[in-house]
Amino acid sequence: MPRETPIPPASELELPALGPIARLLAESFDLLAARLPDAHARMLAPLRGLELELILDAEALHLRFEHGVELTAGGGELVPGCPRIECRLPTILAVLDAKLSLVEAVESDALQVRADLDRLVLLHEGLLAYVHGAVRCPGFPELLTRLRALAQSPP
Amino acid sequence: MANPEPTPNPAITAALRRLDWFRRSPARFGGPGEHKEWQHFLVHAPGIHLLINFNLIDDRWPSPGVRGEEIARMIVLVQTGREWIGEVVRFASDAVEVPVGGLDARFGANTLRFVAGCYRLSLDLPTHALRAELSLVPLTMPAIANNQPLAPGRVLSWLFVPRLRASGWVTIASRTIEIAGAPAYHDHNWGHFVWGDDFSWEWGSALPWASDNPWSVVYMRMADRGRARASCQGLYLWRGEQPGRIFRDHELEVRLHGRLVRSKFLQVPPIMALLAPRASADLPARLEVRAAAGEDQVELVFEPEDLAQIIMPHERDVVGATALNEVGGRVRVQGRVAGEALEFEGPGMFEFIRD
Repeated sequence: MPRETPIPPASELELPALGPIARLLAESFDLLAARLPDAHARMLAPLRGLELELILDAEALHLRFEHGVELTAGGGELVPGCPRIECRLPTILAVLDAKLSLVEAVESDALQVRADLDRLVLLHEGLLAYVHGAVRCPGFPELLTRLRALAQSPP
Repeated sequence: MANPEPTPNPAITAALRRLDWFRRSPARFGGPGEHKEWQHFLVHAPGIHLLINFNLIDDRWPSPGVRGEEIARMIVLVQTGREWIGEVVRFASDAVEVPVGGLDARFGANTLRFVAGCYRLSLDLPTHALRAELSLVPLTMPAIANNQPLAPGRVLSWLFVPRLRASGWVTIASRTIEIAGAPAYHDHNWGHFVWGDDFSWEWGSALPWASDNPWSVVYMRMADRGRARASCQGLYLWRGEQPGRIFRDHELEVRLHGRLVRSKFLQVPPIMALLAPRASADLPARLEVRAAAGEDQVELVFEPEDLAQIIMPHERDVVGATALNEVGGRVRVQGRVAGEALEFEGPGMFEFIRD
């Protein structure tokens, strides 16, 4: 059985290149793990073993899902075989505010996704589990307020 | 004046003061938790329908160090023409005043008062620039049912006032709509349960547009979550101020026809739209209730027109959601009770719970 290496909380990683959106995302994973560990585990269940390139506004992130989420600064370049999602903050907020559905965001290219179908399904499952945790977890409304502030006053 | 505000009946006022008071959660003092309570109002005027709900629930996932806290939320839906707006607004505990045993509430700048036999609602919700001042005069005696079985080990109590008359105004984004003598409905529910328990309900209010028609109708059916078995059902007819006929359980035959399909409809809170795709509404295109007992028989037909969803996360688990489908439409009621023919058409608002 392979030895499991503990992953430190994402927000504690010494990664000065992480931008404000990445730090907020990392904080949300930590909050979910601390306050609603069941929801955190549900999120990780379909994602374990997956990696993801995430481009949010000008920030490029690389996520690796194991028994936690390892979040590092990405290079922004296409990584062969690695799922990639690209979108802008206003699109995320439009989806959260139901002004745009997730499907509409994809169909309109406001949210660009490159992945094979199997991993796409797993990523979607993980995303829904993350949102299920977020709507239950105390502390997330404050994170959302900070995300909106970032959209209004980008650094 | 076309629709003067009626004078409240002192007997109805006394009954409501005796029965329609805020219970509040016993968990605030170390009692049982998972308490929910809401005061609910529907107003139907030409061109506008309102749903206003003052809602208190025990916090299933409190912040560390916080115990016995109730979450106070306003749920407001407004339908103008074919368009709905609405929101679920949560208020900080220091912005909420709800004295136990009273019939007054303040949720931020929004208030419910029971003054001189009238419910007075004052709304101020900035998201949609929604403001309202409404006075609702109860025209019927209330009905109350305590501790009705909801799910295994769960009970729900309810009080309803089948008919009120509403007056006042509503302003949405600087457009003001006068409400004059509009038919209205009120209920108050409280009990211990969580969203995701093994239950569902269908609940509807039917009122005549004609103010001189004496009949008011409430329909309810409680069932298990899969809607395979109804535990109780009823059709409540009020004639004037008093109950005119109540049909229960096997005296009712309920048929759901077709499927209401709408590609777009309002879902609140908006983020829950991610977790409850619109295709999952599973609502009838037509609901028929036939009630018969002895010589009395009544038929109610509800034809849904539009809907909005209030979506609650399941509290039993960290996944799952329950949709409260608020469906507006037209109702026709006809029949014969105690030798008297009854017939009316009017607005209906039905709530269908779907998991």
